[in-house]
Formats: sequence, structure tokens, C-alpha cells
Amino acid sequence: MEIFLIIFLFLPLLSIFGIRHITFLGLGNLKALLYLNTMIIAQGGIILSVFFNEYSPGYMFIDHYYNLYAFDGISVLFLVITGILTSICIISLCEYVKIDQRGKTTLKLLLGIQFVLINFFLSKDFLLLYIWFEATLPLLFLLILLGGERNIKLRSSYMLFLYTLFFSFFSLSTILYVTGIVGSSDILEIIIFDYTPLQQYVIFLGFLISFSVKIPSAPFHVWLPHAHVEASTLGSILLAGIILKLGGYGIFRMMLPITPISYDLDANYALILAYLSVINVSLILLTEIDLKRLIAYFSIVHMNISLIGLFSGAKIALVGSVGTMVSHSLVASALFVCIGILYERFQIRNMTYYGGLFNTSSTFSTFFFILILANFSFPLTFGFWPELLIYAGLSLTSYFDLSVILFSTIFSLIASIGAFTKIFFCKLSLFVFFFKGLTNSEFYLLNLSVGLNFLFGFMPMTYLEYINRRLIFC
Amino acid sequence: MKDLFIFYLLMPEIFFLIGNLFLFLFLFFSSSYANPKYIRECSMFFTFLINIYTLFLYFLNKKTSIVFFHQMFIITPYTLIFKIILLFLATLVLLILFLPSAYETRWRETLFIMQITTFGFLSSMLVANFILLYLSLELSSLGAYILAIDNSAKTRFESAIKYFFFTYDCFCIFYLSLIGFYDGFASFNILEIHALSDFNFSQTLAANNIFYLQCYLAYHLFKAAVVPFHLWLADVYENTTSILTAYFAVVSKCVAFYHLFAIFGVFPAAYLFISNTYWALGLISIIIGTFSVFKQTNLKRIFAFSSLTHTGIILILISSGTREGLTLALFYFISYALGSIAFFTTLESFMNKEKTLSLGLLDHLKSLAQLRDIRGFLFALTLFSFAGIPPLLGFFSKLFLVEYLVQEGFFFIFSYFCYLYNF
Repeated sequence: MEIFLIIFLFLPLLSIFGIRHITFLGLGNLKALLYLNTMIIAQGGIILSVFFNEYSPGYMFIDHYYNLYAFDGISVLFLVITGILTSICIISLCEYVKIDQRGKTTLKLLLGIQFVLINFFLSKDFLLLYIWFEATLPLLFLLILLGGERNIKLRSSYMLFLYTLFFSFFSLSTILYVTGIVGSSDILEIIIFDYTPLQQYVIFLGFLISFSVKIPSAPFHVWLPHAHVEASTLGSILLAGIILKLGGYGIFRMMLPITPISYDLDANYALILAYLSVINVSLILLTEIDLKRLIAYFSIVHMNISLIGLFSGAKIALVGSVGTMVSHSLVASALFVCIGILYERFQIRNMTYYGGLFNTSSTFSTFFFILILANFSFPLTFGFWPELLIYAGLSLTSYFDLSVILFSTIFSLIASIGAFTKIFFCKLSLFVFFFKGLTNSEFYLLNLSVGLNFLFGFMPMTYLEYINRRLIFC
Repeated sequence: MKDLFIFYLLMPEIFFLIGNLFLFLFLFFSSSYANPKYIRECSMFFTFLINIYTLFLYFLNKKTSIVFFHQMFIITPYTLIFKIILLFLATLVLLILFLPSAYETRWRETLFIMQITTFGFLSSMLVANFILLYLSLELSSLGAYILAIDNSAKTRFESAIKYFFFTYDCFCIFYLSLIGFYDGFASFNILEIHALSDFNFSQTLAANNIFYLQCYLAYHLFKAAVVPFHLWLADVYENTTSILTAYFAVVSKCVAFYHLFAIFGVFPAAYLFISNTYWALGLISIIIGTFSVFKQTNLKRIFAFSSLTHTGIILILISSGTREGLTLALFYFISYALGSIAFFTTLESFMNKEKTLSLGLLDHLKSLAQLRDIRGFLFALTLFSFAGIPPLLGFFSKLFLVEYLVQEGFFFIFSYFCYLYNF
């Protein structure tokens, strides 16, 4: 079975090698190779998740040679997301970017990020988790620098880099502290160990500070809108879809299992951060006119709602929290694809310039409308059920918190519907007549996203039950 | 006969000197029918072979120290390890000469002087006598002066004169320390001084001895470019060609670190004093290097201040005076040296024949990504490694450093924290 691990770990690297040497076979083969790569990762993950660890909550397929890598129900879930998102990225890249030297460099960076992410989700060792967590940074940094058009991209990439790197120092020192206590950095040995309340407090705070930058929570969220605005469509999809989840996954994997006492006593620190950012960012949403920035702020709201679910103390909210991460990664990336469709045609992100787009492309506007509905968690969409679980979990603990959150989500509803009406229905702007409809691959891409959205919206138990089974140890 | 047999310990130096002399005689007087590139390769190969031989010596004398020729020379395992590292790094630095832009009219002289300087460094590790130590260091410094001025930058005279005067100041202080040691211990021999030092440092002479010890350390601290002696650093780095900057940053520092560590063995009674000095100077170096690096427009100056920080860290590691500290210091130094060589190799490869980029101004290096070249990516990787981003080598050296510092005491973390601002 360890052959699966090896395939997963080294497939992206093989593809990078292939990009360099397959050019003599023509562009079609290159695309085929890339699709094959991502399909194996995505579908392999699905197959593994369905067949191999049906009722097992713990690690499987531990690599017995080095004892560093292993599968888990949750990591397989994120592996599937990585595969799907990378394939979306590759399709959109092949659609918009000419595969010249620059396009190839972008592809290599993309596959490099895929490699790093797969390693991150499969690693079973605290230090290794940290290493792969950080290794996404230089690649994203280069991706933003390659994709952006304006000079301000330098500033945003610096911000991305320095924010995460500076605060990950806390994470590193905490990891060293933990390994110093336990004497090993293996996750299974670290979970078993009994920590004193003071030790748990230190570990809790150290991890919380460093992961709240990646999520990102309110005082540390400044880098995210900048990075989104300057990144290309592909960079935005990756950032919103999977990079933000590293923070949640890190909390879930590294912090919660070893700090049960602090989870009861000190969860308020995390909750205050999350509430503050939800309220703050919901209000910012009302004034935002930049489309990418808007979706970036939406991601902050969703990820912080997920953070609330993680720390609310109810099992049902925990399931909802992981579900929110999954649903948000699909919905946000699909929305970024939509914005990419607009941006590639008109080179404008300011939504006030668009108007009456419904008249020229009703298909696109329908897709966009469904995705916007999913974005503010309309019933029977992908985003609805997990958030419902979070609210249900919150109602067990505090009605005041629940009312605050529900009140602030109204703002995000106003903002999404406002953005939709401004783009598709307000005063007709002339240049939208140049919108000649969707291309084939765009159509199928949006079909795929909306289809998945409806599938999981109508049958939520398919994945919520799956997550629930894997969270037995929490 | 037995005395002659002991020559096998001196073979690296002897072969290094004689071999290089022959090669260069061949180089200067018969260049009409010998391909100069061939000589360059030979020189590198020769250094490499001697490195292999030194490795062999190390496996022979893993545990013991050998004193020979009337206590004139001493070989310890630490010496051999440092020698291996030195020769390895010197070989790597010579690799930069293979780049087309480094191939200029005066490369023969540069190569010759570099090898002679390396010989001086090698022999300075071997000797057990302060006079001989002085002579070999002087030999290496003579080469270094010429190397510092041997380029086409406009401000090279200023930097070279700065280097020259600083070195001579330090040499004068070095004389003073020799006189002082002779005054205190009535010998120039390191072994005899070592035997007497326990007694003398605890007597009334201690204050004098510590002063002379300071004088001795000053020279090596100057070579390693630690804070009070760092003023030449940025200027010399800025005004030399890439290969020589790599030489100054890597080979010269390796020897300085060796002597800074070896002094623990000579004066074990002064352990606290030496350790505290290193610690304080290292910390100040880290802080000054960190805050000077901002607002610099020249890549080589940035590198100079960054290397000041690295030196500070290595000095703090050496200050422990223990085997673990030295092991970590060596690992850190090797990762730093490999990074530096990669940095200068890529920097040199960007330069054109006219050397318009030779000053390393950041403005000249703008938009390297437009070149669509693997070199740009490699350069970025090198810089990321310096910044300590995982999974590159620079990260692991800093990781081990932090682990070690956590064991030693928590306040040390501060220095690393300062370092974090470095990029």
C-alpha cells in the first residue's frame, strides 16, 4: 500500500520533469500529462477515502521505513481538494495563459505547490508539517510576482511572505518546545503524552498566533486582500481554495489533540479573534467595490466562522467546521474562476464598471448567481449545511454569540446580492456587449463547480457523515 | 629515518606549494603552447587531491594529536577537519573561475596569489609556535592585500587601503601579544605556554595576560570580521570581483574561526574570558549586521552585513567551547559557505564581459525574471536559503541552532530573534 504514498509524493515532481522534456511531443500531450497527474491525485484520493479506511479514524498506510508519512481520513479529504483545485488551475491556465516560457514557469510553480501541499497533508511529523507549511511560501511569492501586472505586486508579495514567516516563528518555537517535552516529533507520540495545564497554555497560544495569520483572523488579515488582488486567477484559486485551509488543518491536526484543557479554558482567545474578524470584515464588505478583494474578504468571514466551529466546544460544530473548509474551497475557487472570466475579457476588477451583463450572457449570470447563493450559505447549497451545523453547535453553548454571528452574516448577504445586482442588472454599460459568451472549457468548469455544489447541497450527508466518522478521536 | 617518516603529515602543505609553483611556472613561461584553461583545471584538481589526502590523514589520526619536529608542528583531529573543510571550500571557490565572465586577462595572477594565500592559511593551522604562526599569517595577508586591490572598480584604492591599514594595525597588536606572551611565559611555543598557562593565569600576571590575549584575538576577529573590526568588510566586498569576495567570505573566515576555537585549547584557564568576549561580540555583530542591512542598494554590501550576522551566530556557537557547539558552528559555517559560493557563482554568471554589473547594484539586477533563465530561480533559491526558508539548507542550520540555544539558555533566543529581521 505504501506505493500509493510514493505515487502521491512524487507525481508532481515527475510532471515538472515532464514539462521540461515533453515539449517535442506538442502542447496537447503536455495538457494530457497535467490532467493525468491531477486526476490521479484527485481520484486516487477519492478511491482511497471510499474503499480503504471505511471505519478507521486513525492513521493508515504508515510509512514503516522512515515513519514520517501517513494517510488519514481528513488528510485524504484535503488531498482530494488539492487535486481538484490544481486541475481547475491547470484548465484555467491553459485557457488564458499562453504556454510559452512564462506559462511553463507558472505551471512548474503550480506543480511545485501541489507537491508541497501533498507532502504537508501526508506528513505525520510535527517538524515535517512545519517544513512543508513554510515551503509553500517562496513558491506563492514567486507565483504572485509572476502573475501580477502592477508594480504594487512587490509590496503584496512581501506582505504575504513576511506576515506568515514572522508569525510562523511562534509555531516553530512551540514545536521545538513540544518536541523538547516529549522527546520526539512524531505526532502519535505527541498526542499520547500528558501535558500540564501550563504547558498546554503555552502550546495553545503559540499555535494560535501563528495559525491565525494563515486563516487569517482580524488583526493579522491585512496581507490576504493585497495578495488576492495582485495574484493571477490561478494564484487566487490556490490561495482561497487551499492555502487558507492550511491554518485550519494545522489547528485541527497539531493544536486540538494535545491541548484538551486549554481547549476548554482558553478557547475564548480564539473565539474573540474570530468574532472580531467576522464583524469587522462583514462591515468592510459593504463598502468594497473591487471584485477580487470582495471574495477575499468573504474567505476571511468563512474561515473565521470555521474557526468558531473549531473552538465552540461541540462535536457537531467541529464537523461543520471541517465541512465549511471543504465547501468554501470549492465555492470560493469557482467564484474566482468567474471573476477570472470577467477579468480576462475586460481587465477590470471594479464592479461599478460592469452593469447589465445579464443581457449578454444569461448562462454565465446563472452560474454566478448560484455560486453567490452558495457563498452566503443559502439553503440547499454546498455552503449551507456545514454552517448550519456550526450554528447548531453554537446554540448549545451561547445564544449571544450565535446572534452576533447571524447578525453579521446579514451584511455578507447584502454585499453578495449587491455585487451580483451591480454586475448583472444595474445600468447597462456599453462594453459588456463585447462579452461573447463562455468558451467550452469555462462552461464545463462552471458546470462542474455548480454540479458539485448542488450534489453536496442536496445530499449533505455524503460528506458530513464521512467527516463525522473520522472525528471519533476528538 | 623515523623523523623522515613523519613527513607524511606535512605532505599536504608541501605538495600544495610545490605543485602549485610548478603549475604556475608552466603557466607563465610556456603559455604559448599550453592551454591556460587546462592549468586552471589542474590547479583545482590538485587542491581536490590534496583534500582527499588530508581526509586519509584524518582517518589515520582520528583520536590522537601528534607533535613533531621539535615541537614546531602539531596536528590534531580538529586541525585536520578544518583543513578538509578549507580545501573543499577553496576548490569550490576555484570553480567560479570557470565561468566565462571571470575569465579575464589577469586571472593567472589571481589564481596564483589565491593559491599562495591558501598555502599560508594551511600552514597557519599546522604550526605550534607563535613566530611561525605570525609568519604564515603574514604570508596569507600579503596575498590578501593584492587580492583586495586587484580589480577594476573605481573605489578599489579606498577599500584596499582600508583593508591594508586595518590588517597592519591588527598585526602590530599581534606583535604586542607575542611580546607579552614571551614576557609572561618565556617561550613562543604554544605547547609550553599551554603547560604554563594554568599556573600563570591564576597569578598576578593574569591581568597582563588577558590584555595580551585580547591583542592576539584581535587579529583573528579582524579576519572573521566581527563587530569592532568589521569596518573594512562592506567596502572590500563591494569593490572586489565575485570570486575574491567569495574567497574573503569563505576561506579566510574558515581559518579565522579555526584560530578562534583553537585558543580555547591553548589557554584553558582563560575559558570564561574568551567565551564571554565571543558571546558579547557575537551578539553585537548580529544586531549591527541586522540593522545595517536595511536601505542598502548594493547586493554585495547586503551580503557583507548579512555575513556579519552569520559570523556573530557562529561566534556565539564557538563561545561554548564544547564539542557540540563546535559541531554546530561547523555545520552552520558550511551551510553559510555553500550558500555564499552559490550566491557569488550565480552573481558572476549574470555579469557580461564588460563587467558593468560588477558592482552588484540592485538596480542593475532588476527584473531578472525577464531573462527566463534557470539562473534567476537558482539565485532566488540561494536567497531563500539565506533567509532560512524550509526545506532549504539554511533552514536546517537555523533549526539546529535554535534547538541548541534552547538547551543553553533562553536569553540566547533573543539573538536569533534579531536575526529573523535579517531579510
